Amino acid sequence: MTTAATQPRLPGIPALIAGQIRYQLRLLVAAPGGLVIGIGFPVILLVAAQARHGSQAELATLAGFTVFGLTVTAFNTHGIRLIAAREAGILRRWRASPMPPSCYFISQILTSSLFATCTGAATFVFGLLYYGIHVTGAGAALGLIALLLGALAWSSLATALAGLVPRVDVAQPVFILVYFPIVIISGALGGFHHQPGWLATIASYLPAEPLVNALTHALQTGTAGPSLPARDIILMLAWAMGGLVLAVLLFRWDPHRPVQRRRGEPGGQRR
Amino acid sequence: MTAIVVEHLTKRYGNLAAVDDVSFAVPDGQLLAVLGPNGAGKTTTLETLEGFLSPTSGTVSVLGANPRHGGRAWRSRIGLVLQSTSLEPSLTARVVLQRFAALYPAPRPVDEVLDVVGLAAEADVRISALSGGQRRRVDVAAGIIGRPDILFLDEPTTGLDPEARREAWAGVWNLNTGGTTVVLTTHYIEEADQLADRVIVLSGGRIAADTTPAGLRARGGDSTIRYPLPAGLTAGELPAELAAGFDPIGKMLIIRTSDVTADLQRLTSWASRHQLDLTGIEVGPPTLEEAYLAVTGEATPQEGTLP
Repeated sequence: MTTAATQPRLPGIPALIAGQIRYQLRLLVAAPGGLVIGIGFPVILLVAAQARHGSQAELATLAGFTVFGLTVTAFNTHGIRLIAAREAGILRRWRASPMPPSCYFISQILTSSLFATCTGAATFVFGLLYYGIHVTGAGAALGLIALLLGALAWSSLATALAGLVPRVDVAQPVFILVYFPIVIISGALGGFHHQPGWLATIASYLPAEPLVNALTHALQTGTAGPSLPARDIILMLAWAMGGLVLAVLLFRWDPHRPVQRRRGEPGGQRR
Repeated sequence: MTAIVVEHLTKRYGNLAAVDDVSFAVPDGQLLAVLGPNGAGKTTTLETLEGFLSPTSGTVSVLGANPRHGGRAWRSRIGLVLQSTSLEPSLTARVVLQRFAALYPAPRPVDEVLDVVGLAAEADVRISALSGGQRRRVDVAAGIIGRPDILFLDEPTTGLDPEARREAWAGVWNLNTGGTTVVLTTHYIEEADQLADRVIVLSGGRIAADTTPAGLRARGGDSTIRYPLPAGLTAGELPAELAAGFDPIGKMLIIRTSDVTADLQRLTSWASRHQLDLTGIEVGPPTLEEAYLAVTGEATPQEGTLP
């Protein structure tokens, strides 16, 4: 038997996280369903909005659709993939490896956030080109920061919610019922300007509207120039941190398993 | 050195004891097979050793550590093959194994492991496109890539065809002869017979037998005469003293006896009177399966003893 003293050193934590992010990105690219929905859906909406209005879309509309695409990727796709991996026993296999659980956890959220930021950016670039809108370099950089913060918030929340959803077959409706109303009342998809005051107040604190606001401010080209409103940044950071804490508390590595009955006994047992 | 020490392990789910006061120790380099019917506590025991479950009471030590608190260094010395395939299906075996290899301090080369499990030709095929047996071999590859000191295998050959099963056995045996301690659960008696130095039979959460395959076979009791009956012969055509040994599933006469000579003489006399061909008759000690069924109290094929 090899003793610990004679073993070569274990790989470092930064290398483990970097390697795991690369691996998770390969996984996302190998099964590009989330990518297609995350970019394709908002692009279709953008084109449809142009056809309906017959005029150049406003920056806020473009930001709204971009945020919608980002939430699909960072929240819906990320959460459902996580539940599917857990129920297939994949998370349990990683948990049993020498990679610290925190590395896997952080890599998952960072990968999903990076991926969602990229899909959001791709949607936004398409919108800018399609509508012929010009943004400054500073505005684009601030926009990317806003997208990344929003993606972190939504990915953390999806990770937390995944711990509460028991099975893959109920994941899709649960996730849609959570994120879709939040996106709608944020006004991201337009046409929601006359909601009651209390609902508008709630929406302003939920993670979609601050992201739409931050993205809109980051990309504005008027006399005020690009900016990131502090309130929106603080709210997104708060959702990201809160989601992370909830995720740590609620995260489950093990799949739900059927209970087996032992012959001749009234109750059941795990295998 | 002792690789595993289990003392008075009990694991309860509500009022039910999945594992009930189980104790055993596994020396370094041993190949231990844990047998038992569904619900016997095999997987619960294995998952406690792997650190997935906490005991309700009792203690477990694997490589000198409590598995629930084993750190990275400890985990790097443990190899696992879980009960079902548990790797990302959209990636290739090579990509998955490269990632797993990067987690260990001194991994085996990926190509070498692919060779060992017989998947060199399928290395760049998506796991989802592999057959069930090939996927299971990727699981085994991920389990051994870190050069584990202990390898836990939870029903590693379930679902494999006979050829793939024998290849998997060869791989496990090679690993064990190289010094790796192996603990495997299995439903296949033949698997335990072929591979194991030692067999623990669990039944109802308790140890029903802890012995060698030969020792277990000896616990099967009487010797057995097996005679495949000619086609068309029914139980009703057998003499009363033989009919109780008729196995309708296997179309066999199975006679458990402590006096082989006398019982064989009765059978041959009856066969001679009816001009029956005795080709295929077997006389021998109880099979490991028969011994296992006797130990666990499971239902056996209908057995008879000649008066």
